[in-house]
Amino acid sequence: MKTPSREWTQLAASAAALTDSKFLKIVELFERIRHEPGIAEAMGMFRPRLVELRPPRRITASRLFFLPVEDLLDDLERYQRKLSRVCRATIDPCWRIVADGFGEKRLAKLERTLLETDSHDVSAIVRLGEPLWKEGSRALGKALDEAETNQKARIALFGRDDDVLRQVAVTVAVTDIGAFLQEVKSKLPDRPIQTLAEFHVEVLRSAIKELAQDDIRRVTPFLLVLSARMLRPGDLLAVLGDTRLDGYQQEKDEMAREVGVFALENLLRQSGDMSKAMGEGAAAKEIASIAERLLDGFDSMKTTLQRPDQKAMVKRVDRARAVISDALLERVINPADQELLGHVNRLADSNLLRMGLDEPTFPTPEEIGKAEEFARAYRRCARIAPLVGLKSEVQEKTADICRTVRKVSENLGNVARPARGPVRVDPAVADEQFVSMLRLIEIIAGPDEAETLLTDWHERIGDLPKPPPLNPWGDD
Amino acid sequence: MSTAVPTTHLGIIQGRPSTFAERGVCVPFTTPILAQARIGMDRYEQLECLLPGFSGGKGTYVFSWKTVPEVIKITLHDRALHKEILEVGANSPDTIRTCALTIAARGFAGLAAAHQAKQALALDQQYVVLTNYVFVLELLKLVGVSTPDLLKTGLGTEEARQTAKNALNQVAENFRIAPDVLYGRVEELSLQLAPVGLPQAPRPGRLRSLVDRLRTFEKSVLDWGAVETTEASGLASFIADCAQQTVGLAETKLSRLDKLLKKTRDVVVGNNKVSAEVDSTVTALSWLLDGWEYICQLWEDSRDQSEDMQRIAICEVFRIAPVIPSEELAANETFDMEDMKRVQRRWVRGNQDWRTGGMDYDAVRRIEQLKAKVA
Repeated sequence: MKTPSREWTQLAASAAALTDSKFLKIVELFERIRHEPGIAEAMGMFRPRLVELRPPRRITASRLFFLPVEDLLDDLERYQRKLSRVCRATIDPCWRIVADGFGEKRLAKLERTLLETDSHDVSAIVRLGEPLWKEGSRALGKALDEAETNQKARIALFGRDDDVLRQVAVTVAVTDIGAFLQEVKSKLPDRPIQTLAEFHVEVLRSAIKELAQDDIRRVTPFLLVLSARMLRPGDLLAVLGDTRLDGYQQEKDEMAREVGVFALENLLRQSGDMSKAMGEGAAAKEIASIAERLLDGFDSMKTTLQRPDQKAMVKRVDRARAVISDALLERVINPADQELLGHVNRLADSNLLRMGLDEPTFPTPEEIGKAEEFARAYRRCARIAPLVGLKSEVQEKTADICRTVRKVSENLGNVARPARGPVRVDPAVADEQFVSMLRLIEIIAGPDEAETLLTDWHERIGDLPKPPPLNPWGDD
Repeated sequence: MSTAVPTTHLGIIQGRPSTFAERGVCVPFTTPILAQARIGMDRYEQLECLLPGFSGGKGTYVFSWKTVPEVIKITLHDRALHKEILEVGANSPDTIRTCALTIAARGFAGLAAAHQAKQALALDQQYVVLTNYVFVLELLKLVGVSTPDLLKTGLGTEEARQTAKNALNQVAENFRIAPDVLYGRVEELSLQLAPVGLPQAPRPGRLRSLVDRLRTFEKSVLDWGAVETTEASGLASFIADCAQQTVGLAETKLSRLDKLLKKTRDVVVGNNKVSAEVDSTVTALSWLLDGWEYICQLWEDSRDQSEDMQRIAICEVFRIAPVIPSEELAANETFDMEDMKRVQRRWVRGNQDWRTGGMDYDAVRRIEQLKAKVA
């Protein structure tokens, strides 16, 4: 009896509670039956955790074929039409055609070889993938031609949806340059690519030139894939702009426009991630990271946005920026004092400490670690705040937090080195706690502010006792 | 072979340093751009900071140590460390290490690094104690008292202590020195030898262990370079060569030291030549191996990361590699240093905060995490 899809999905969802190693074993079991109905959908639930764990995954022939396309793949619920991306649901019909064309025997041999191949060995992967990509692309191209002229064949191969044909066309174009693309990708930084070094720019330039010389139409799929790997897709378009393609100026401009629009549309699509993250109560770290990715992406696309035909796009980008701004304010800036200093706020209340009514309780290492993580998210948020009109909000909040820490410094100093009465807190412990707080101040307000507070603290607390050295001969 | 051209207070050094002193001592800063910058003495006996590949530049930039915080925006940890070094006047691997551990122990590089630093400081003291014990046992052998003799009554008992004391008094008599002088000398030697440790000690000293680690590092980098498809493979060959030369020199020095330490009487009393050689060999080892622990850790941490991260690690290791000074080089330079520096510069990436002139605290955290594993 076949297991219904819903049960696979439930099983996949329950794997979330497992430890990493057990989770990976479940993933492996799903992998083995990945072509069963309902499995692909259930496996979508594993993806976010797999992205984080990055386990060495066994590469199958079908995964090998779609390797060049992987940056354009979207899950069913995230997929949006007409963005030159490929929905994972399209993988199966495509693979059936590719596998048929490649032949059962050759495929079985390839699967066996892949079993013994390290998926990180780029040259082996390219060597094994090259015939599959070339022949697969050709077979898919043929099927696409047939589908475009024969309605019956089209329904049998890809269904009735026009958009599936567009996705297949993207797959054909990308796998056609599969080997070339994989080699270039292996020389570039990990995705998402933040910045490019001179070496990477040179790799990209010579790749664009080589493809253009061969066939200028091959440059667009190349750029499409790589722009999807970049945090600032505009940087890739800048590389294209700086690359001399003699005789192809018009094509180059058209490509830049086309890829630019796709990249922007893709960023706008991703701005939905922010609403989703807000709805799911994501941590400040995640909110800041999505905001950074989107704002940096938009920032890099200035050239495309400045085109006279992109006024509507500018308005959509502004709306996305407003959503990001609200999210940053709500999840990072407003709760910053509580998140950073919630665990030490009682130390700011001098009355409680002075009256001896309250013993100072210090944060645990876990609390400090969490606060530092928040501080780094806050800093990232502060960097992009001016791009969404939140500069003054960040400045005010930072100043508030610094004031509180100054107060804590006074109170802590008073109980660790009291002018009168007994010492209520070991000065060494107080110092350790205060340095932890200073690290938070350093991250959010910079080292100058932290150093000023440190100097005041040293004046207040004086020299700390040094631990005695060990005596090898005991008391003698 | 390219030779170093020293400058006065500010300038650039090109090529290999001539001596270890000119190479300087690594300072474990947490500001990414300053990570593993070096400290040295200028011709006026003032501290100076040596910064390789600053801003992707060609040579090693030289600043007056005092001006470092004015030239570069540095972390709070680095401000505290900078001040500590200046106050102590530290300019050798051991003194810089102590300064760095003292600052890290206060928590300036985070709780994990503080924990590691406190443990390292405690371990340093334990090594002194261990070296002291092993040394005393060696001395006791000279008068026929062995470890089993002491163990008979239990090592920590008063009786055993008395037996050891009596035997040491006998050793002192044989050496024709006062017992207090003997104790003082053993203590002095223990302090001096603790970083290397005695060959017969149950646990190798810090520097002795580092030589083993460096051997593994050399092989690992060499293997990586052999399959790397980009120009970064050339950097790997250079780094492996650098590690191999360091291991070679360290092994020679260790074997010489161990030979000297067999002459217990000469080392402890009387023979100034032997005693001076022991001292200079230990010092030479600490200068020779300075900076390699951080590099080994950096590389080991990158091994289970992506190829991109490994390339970044190789470029960083190349930038900070403790090259063998030209005076110590066994053969003429076979690498085109200028070409390799050009390759390394082509791999330097900016970071996001550079655009706003701020500090990249994610990069700072990565250095702090590394620091939490390095003693």
